[in-house]
Amino acid sequence: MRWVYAARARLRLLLFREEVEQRLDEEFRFHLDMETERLVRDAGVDPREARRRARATFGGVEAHKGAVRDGRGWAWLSGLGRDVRDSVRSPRPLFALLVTAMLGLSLGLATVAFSLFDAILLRPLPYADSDRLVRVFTFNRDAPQSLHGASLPDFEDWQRQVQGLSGIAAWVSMQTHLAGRGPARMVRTAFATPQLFDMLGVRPVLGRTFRDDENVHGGDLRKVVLGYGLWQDAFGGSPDVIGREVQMRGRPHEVIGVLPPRFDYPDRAQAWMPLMSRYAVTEVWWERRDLYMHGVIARRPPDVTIAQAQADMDAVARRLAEEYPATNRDTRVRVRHLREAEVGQLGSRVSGVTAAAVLLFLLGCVNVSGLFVARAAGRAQEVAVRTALGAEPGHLMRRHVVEGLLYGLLGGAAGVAVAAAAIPALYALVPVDLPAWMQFRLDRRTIAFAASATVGTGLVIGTTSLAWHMRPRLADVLRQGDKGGLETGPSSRLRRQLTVVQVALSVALLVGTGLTVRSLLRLGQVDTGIRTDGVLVASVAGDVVPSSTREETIARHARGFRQMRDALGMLPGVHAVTAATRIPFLNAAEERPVYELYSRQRDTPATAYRGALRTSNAMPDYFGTLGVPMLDGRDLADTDTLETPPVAIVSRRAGELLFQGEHPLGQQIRWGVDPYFWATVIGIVPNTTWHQADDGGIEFYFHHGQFPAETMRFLISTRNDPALLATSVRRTLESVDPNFVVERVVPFDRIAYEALWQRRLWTFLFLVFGTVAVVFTSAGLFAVMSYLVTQRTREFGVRTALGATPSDIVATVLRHGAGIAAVGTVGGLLGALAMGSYLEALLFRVSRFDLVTFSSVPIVIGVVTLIACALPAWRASRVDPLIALRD
Amino acid sequence: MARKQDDLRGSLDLVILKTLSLAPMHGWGIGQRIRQMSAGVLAVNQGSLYPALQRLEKQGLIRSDWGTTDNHRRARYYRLTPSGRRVLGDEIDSWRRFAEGLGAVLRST
Repeated sequence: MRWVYAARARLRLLLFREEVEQRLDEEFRFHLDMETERLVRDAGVDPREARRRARATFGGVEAHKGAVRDGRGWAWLSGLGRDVRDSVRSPRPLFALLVTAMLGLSLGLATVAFSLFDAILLRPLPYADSDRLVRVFTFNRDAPQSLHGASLPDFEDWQRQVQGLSGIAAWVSMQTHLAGRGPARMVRTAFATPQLFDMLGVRPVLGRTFRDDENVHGGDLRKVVLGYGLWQDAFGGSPDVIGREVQMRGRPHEVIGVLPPRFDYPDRAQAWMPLMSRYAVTEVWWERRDLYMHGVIARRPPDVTIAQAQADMDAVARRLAEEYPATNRDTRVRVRHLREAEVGQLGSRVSGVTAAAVLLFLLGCVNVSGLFVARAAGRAQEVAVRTALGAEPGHLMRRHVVEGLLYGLLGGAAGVAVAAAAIPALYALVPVDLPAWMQFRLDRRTIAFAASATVGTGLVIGTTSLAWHMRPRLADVLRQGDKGGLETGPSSRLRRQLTVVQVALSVALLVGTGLTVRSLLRLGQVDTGIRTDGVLVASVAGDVVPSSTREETIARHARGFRQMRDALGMLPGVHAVTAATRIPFLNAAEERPVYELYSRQRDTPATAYRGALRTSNAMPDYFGTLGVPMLDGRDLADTDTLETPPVAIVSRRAGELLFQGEHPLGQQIRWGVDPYFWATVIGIVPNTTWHQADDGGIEFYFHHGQFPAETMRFLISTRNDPALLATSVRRTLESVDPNFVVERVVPFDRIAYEALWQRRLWTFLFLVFGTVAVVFTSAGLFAVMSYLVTQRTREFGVRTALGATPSDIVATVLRHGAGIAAVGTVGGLLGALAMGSYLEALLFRVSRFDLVTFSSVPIVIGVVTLIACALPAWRASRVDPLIALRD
Repeated sequence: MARKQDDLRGSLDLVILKTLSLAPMHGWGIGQRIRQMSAGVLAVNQGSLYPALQRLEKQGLIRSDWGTTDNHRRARYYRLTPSGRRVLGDEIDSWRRFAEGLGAVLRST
């Protein structure tokens, strides 16, 4: 008889699995209902509380179902499927939501940071064997920080003499006037030697690149290789473009090739022309060794280290110094990795941001681990029951790892979604076009990173919660089976420790946030000495007329630009109009080698100077329009022309530096690029700052009518909102001479604002990280404090019964929270001190030990702690001693 | 040690069987009744109760059917099978002998 019943039970389990599941559900629900009713009836508990308690006493419904099922002994494989199903089905939406949100945010932001880090520092540059590409720079022995290009004669000597490099190429980047394909436009053009393409390993998608015989000084080399984008834009991607002619720099050039998409080296070039063409640069460039205009890139053979290449180049530089002492005596050479040279300071900034993202990611993991430990403690009974019923450790492990991985996957998916939304959003903060190699995207590499981080996180979470379960505390748990709070000492200790780590991590992040925010504020406060409000900037490029002399071109442009100025001046609302070739903020990055400047009296360059040197060819009233007063002498005037002696205006610091105490007015200076013209100093202006982050600089201004000024930036001063003028300004400029290309028309304010885009981007990221860190940490604090209050309900009841006032209880809870926060804060501050060097490159006039930041972060943490502890403390103070004791 | 666990587990089974010998009962009621009968000394943890019921059913000592409670709620009622009743008798005897033996030992010291 007995076996009949047994068989019946077994059969039912095997055949009617789903039904059995439902019945277990129903049975357990019935149990909970009955227990709730009993509590309401016998203990006088209000129904909702009774429900909660019944549930707490009963433990996880799923857990018991599992425990019941475990008695049946399913095969391992079906067990795995069950683990997955259980994890998916488990009715814990809030928990799942929290975990997904936390993992998603921290993984997503880490992925965003990785995409930046990968683009700037990790992924190989998109050129053949890019790790063997180097840039070669020159510098003056006395100013080793200030690296410049090479003169053409020097470059050619290097090319002939150097042994340690397997290829070397030079270029000059310029804006080139392109006409005849739609409206005239300016094209970023690299005038390059033929080796450039082979060295970078780029093959044209159409036609060819330059041949070696297209490298002859002064040759009639009217050839152009188009970038893919320009080919699409100007030629509609037509395949029969090869052999067609296009009007560049006023002359027909033959299109000989088209390069593949996304190739834009150097300097985001859109077109390439032969460097040696007689139409590329002026003759003096081929002759003079003190015009450091050419970028040089080289390839080292696999067996030659950077140091060896450097030694070879040093030897060549020494020979040149002996041979040409007048120009090369102080010229030195530096060889740097291509990436290092291109990335510059950006690298350490991205590293700083990435370090912060890593901290945030850790914080997220710690937070999620805290959640899992909390839940694990809540499920201790389930596990104890399972173990008591003989569940194998292997099974337990599998279940936890499966669960961890599932949550990891959820978080990972959320993270990729966050990154997919955040990366394009970040581009809104990037007002410039990044070179192709620098563009950060959600690409395969980034997704692979997110995926491996996901799996890693999942495994860590799974094994952490498992490690927690595997502690030999079974007996404890079983004994406490009937009590609501199952959690015992070790669990809450672990959670407290995790919370301390959270606080420490977010303190470190907040310090980073504080320092970068303060740097940005400092940058905003910098007095550049330049008025930008109420000024509209319109960039206009003059055309090029073939077979005209230098003087003819200068005069043509000066005439055209003056006509434009006069036309603009007649627009209603326009107060004053002026222009200059280079203006602050927009051309801040364009610095000249200091040793291109000579004073006639001394005939020595100002080599001791290490800051930035800027020159600009301006129109009259340039200084007045920008609110820069004349300190001495006179302004540029329309009466200064090619027929009158060249004039110059110097900034105060420039005057002091170059004339060493003598009064600058009346002195003569020469500017390297125009080596035959000595200009007389006629005026002195105060030092201005061209970029908020500059630590000073020296400025020289020449007259646009006396020196080449192909592109002018009009500065239109108005009493109204400058943006309102933009359309009429553009129309006016285009009507004067359709061959002049009107580029961007934008308020000067906007340009000054955009000049800080990088800083703003980093600060923005830090702000996001800091905010998320604060949210995570307050959630962590809140959870651990709420739990603590629940756990000590009985104690609080006793205390209240013994006469403790609610404020005593509140104080107890707050003290506890403050203890956690204090330990974490101290740890975090120490950590922040230690990692400050990562942030150095992101700071501006703020010490990495900045007292304000380091003292305000603990205040923020204090406030957060107070908020996070407020509700638990209030709850603790409301504990009814009767209920607490009866329980 | 394994021996000891078996004894403990056996005692829970015994208590359940005893409870059911009076009348068929649902899971929650079994727990309540054990508590009442033991005057609050024995409190059965639900985490052990349901696995134990499952186990006993699988051994064919009890069987379950769905019924309705006094206030017309659907509940799963467990009842003793004849073999369960037989096992209960055996177990009670063996437990008594065990308790008596233990008592004798304890008294003599």
